[in-house]
Amino acid sequence: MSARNEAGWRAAPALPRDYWVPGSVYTQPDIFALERREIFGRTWRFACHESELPEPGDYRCVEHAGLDLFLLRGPDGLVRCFFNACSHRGARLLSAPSGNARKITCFYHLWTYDSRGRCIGIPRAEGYSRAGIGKSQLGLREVRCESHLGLLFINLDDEAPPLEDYLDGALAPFDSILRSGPLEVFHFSRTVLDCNWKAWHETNMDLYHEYMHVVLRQTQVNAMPMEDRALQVFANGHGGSGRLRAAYDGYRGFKGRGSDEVPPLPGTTATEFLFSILFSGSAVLSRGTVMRIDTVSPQGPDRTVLEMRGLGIKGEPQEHRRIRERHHNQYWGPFGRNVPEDMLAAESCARSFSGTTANHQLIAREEALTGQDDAILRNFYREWSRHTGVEWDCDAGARS
Amino acid sequence: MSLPEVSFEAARSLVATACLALDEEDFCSFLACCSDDFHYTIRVHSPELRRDMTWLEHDLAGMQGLLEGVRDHLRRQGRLLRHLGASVLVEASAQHTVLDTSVLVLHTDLEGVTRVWAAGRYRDAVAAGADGARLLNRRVQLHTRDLGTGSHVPI
Ligand code: FES
Ligand SMILES: [Fe+2]
Repeated sequence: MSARNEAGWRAAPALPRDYWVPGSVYTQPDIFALERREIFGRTWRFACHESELPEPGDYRCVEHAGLDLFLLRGPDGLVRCFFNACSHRGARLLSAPSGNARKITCFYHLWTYDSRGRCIGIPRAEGYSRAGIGKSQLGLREVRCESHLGLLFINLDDEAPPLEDYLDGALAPFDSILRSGPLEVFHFSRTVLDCNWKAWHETNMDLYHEYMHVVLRQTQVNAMPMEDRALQVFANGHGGSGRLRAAYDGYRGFKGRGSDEVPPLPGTTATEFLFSILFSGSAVLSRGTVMRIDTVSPQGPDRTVLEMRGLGIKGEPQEHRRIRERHHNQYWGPFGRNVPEDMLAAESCARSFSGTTANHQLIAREEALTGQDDAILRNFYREWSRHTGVEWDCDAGARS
Repeated sequence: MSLPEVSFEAARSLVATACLALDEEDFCSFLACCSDDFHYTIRVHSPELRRDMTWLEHDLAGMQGLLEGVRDHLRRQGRLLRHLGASVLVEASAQHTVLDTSVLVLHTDLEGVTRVWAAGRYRDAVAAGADGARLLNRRVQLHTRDLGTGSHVPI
């Protein structure tokens, strides 16, 4: 047993390809460009929750794959998604993150669009008659948008299979919560992290890092036998876990959380921990009384916008909402005991890979889909390679 | 007999003392600035949701538990410095003196690089206690919403 020299440190591990990931997948600009095109350009991605645009005319701006988009609820109640750019000279149409607009008038030359993205107004349109340009050709670029029980997803690929086929049941653990009645987003935060988007997403897929978090050491690691845990992997790179448990009394500040101080979300219990990992960069989690949804929008190999939402029951009494907010904030708020630590971990690994101090990471834990198996990570990276065409083996680093 | 009103200067001095205690992570001294009925909240307006959010809320016991646990956690390294701007008097009565104070929180990392981490405003209610002025209520209205890797220590 000894430390390694340079050759030993840099050598690809003599392991099956599934068990490790080369650092270049986090840092190489050409691999990032491939991800943009082949993953973010083609797969379904969570955009926002329906409660964020409850009324006709409500819109919500989102970033996706380097693009500015917005979702808008029409007078027919349907939510549609469009590029947030004017057909004329490309000005950004909507600049506030959310709002209400019955029609959208571009500030620059006052071209106007309706809720279906049709161009319905061009001042002094006759000036375009010689060029043969008219409103009918000048609608906005519409982006596919489908809902799964109130969760709105978008896809830049006009030919992609329907959302439900893509999800392949990965959100089934949340069915009873999502079907029980309207939910509402009460927490939203957007954070730019100095890491690759996958480094963040890995914090949601990697159960082994429970040991990093004091609260999970004290409330989760010993709350049930490791071998009773049931992790799941799905087609299309998704993963998740049903029925993990937490013993909240184990952490001093969380005493009473497992009791009935507020009704748990329907179909779950106060101490149950559920999560679904969606390829490419979203995760849906619930801790009994409160739900969280993460989404990443990569801006570069080493820069990632992370959006986090906290959800409760729409219309619930104020005293319930307050407790749910507290439960959310205990773990997941910017002043919480869990998420800030995950962010530090993601940025720490990113630093090692961007400077090439570290060479690769290991995802080699095999526990037959129990305990802290790395199976969800392996499933993710298999799907990642399927899309990008980037492969690696122990004789070479990543190649596309 | 009603307790004496707390002067603007005394209230401002307590706000500054409480900030220095938090900067130094001298949590005992910070808690000593708080009354038994202390209530603490961090509020943030979300233009995305078009509503106000609560990012932290505690009574004195909750705050005590939160602060006592800080040292067990994995935390961003370096130190915070709360820079107080001007205070204005919002309300003065026999019950309490209420001040609004703008605050910038600076983070200095282990290499000595300082960056603004958060901007916002304190609304502090200060009341007279048996042995001096105490914080009755602190509401932090944060303007900054991207707090990077967050913080285990309140503002
Ligand atoms: S750029 Fe929008 S109207 Fe000209
Ligand atoms: Fe974590």
